[in-house]
Amino acid sequence: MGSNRLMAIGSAAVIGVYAAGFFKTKAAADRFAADSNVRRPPPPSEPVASADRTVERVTPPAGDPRGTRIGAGATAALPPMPALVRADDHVPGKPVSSPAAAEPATIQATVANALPSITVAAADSVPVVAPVVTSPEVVTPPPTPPAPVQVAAPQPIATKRAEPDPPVRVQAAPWKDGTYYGWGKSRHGDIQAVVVIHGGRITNALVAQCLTQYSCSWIAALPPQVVGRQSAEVDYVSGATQSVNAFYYAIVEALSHAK
Amino acid sequence: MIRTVPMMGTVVSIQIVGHGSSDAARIERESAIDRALEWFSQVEACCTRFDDQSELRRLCVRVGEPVVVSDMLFAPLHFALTVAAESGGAFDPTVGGPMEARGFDANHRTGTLSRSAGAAASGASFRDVVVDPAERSVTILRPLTLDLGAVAKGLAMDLAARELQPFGNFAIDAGGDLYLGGTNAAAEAWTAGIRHPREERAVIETIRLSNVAVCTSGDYERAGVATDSGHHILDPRANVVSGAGGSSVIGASGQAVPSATAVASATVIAPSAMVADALATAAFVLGPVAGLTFLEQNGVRGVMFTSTLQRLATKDFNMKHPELDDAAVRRT
Repeated sequence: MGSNRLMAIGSAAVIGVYAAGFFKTKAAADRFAADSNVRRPPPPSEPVASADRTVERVTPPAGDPRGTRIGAGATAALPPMPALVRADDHVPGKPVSSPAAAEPATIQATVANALPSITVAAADSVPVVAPVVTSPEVVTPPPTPPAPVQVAAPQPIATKRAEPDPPVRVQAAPWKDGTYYGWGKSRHGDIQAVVVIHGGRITNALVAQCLTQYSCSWIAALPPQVVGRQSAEVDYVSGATQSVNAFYYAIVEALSHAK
Repeated sequence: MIRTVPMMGTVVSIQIVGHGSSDAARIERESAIDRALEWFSQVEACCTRFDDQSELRRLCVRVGEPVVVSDMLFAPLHFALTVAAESGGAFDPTVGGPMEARGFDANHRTGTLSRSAGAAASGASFRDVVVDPAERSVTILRPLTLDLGAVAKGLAMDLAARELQPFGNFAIDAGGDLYLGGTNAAAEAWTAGIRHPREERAVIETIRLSNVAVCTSGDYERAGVATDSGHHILDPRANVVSGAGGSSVIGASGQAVPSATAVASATVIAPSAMVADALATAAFVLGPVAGLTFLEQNGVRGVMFTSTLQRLATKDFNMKHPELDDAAVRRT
């Protein structure tokens, strides 16, 4: 039945991408880009995709900083996706839980074990940190927050480490410090956002003014709602709102001035 | 600690509850949120149809040959095609062409128009995309434009959720699609409101959730932003704005549902945001009755509201949360 099939494939997909990590994915994408350019036949499938690959375990070194956990490394070999999750993973009565609950213990343990051991070989290829809006009540971000680190697993990525890293293509740009304004449109009217950049990061984003058919008072409260509780009764609201979309466009436009 | 960024065409907020007040703990949270947000960047860069340099767009121009793609593209595409098959095409990742034709081709990030080669293609469907899981290859049989929008955002949310898993209690809000881990600051299950489909600032129903995603597809999404021609969920089977599907007349609750009744919003609760988002979209397109049946067949909880605000829920939607004694579903 479809019942567990979609759930299984969905969970396996997430586990697979996560376990593969950024580096492997990016490497594949870069190969694909090169391949597109020269119109060569597709390269043979990656060895890491083979189903019979044994999972490698490595001992976490002591005192490893937590900041190197990202990307999981490629040591978790990926069997064909449907095999990752058993059909009975979601039995009635079992607590509904995160995708992690659906993964076989071997993969879970592997990811957990492999992560801390990864050598930070690519510290200079740190992806650009996404622009960040810090909510007003939150303390100012630390001057030098640890950026996510691209990590390379010992195998089989090690063979690819010899090549120089191509520049990471990330949309986020180093913003210039300052205060910037932008407009966003919604069905109910326009919202102007003001974005404050400090130290290259967004430290605040607020509604500056609104031209809507409704009172400004509720829109003025939007940023805190966006970053926090969206109403008095609930923690979060499922279902997009026009005001959120308008706020998004306003921030984007403001940031376009900060480049 | 909460952070909000504009990403994937919407506003993404990530909250980590508590977890210490020391500088070290704070930096740890900052770092984790950085990593979680980086997943959104990575997925967006790979899977967006608004950038002709994305891997997705580069794949779309190679018709008729098997192309080995990255896991980050293959996994959501494989999943989307599976949902397409299971839903009889109600959900279809090849809907990109018709979406562009209807004007949904503006890059959410830059506002620039981005029209792909497959835009003019018509009649393409998910059956024109063949995947080989063993080779991680994709073969596109005819010109078309893939759109992984909802699935890609769901995937990014799931990846971010895994990144935040060590903290236990956290929330991810990507433009109204939610992943709610653990508990809120009051150590209770998260309270999620379902947006009223006809009143932007109202909540039509409240649910208590923990360690699940909840996603809602509504006919109000992005309407008026891209064009005036309607909301952004197409029925791929007819290339018309969806919501009027379902020809049955008796709902799961036994209530009569006019065959022409459209779905105003469909909300799905699932362990994965990718699953919840895709199934909510499919249910929305399928219509009130077929949509509800589809959700039950796929083992997810869901609730739909029609354009007349009739409520249709899966049989187990109102069950108490298995992990929490005080959890309850209530109408507001």
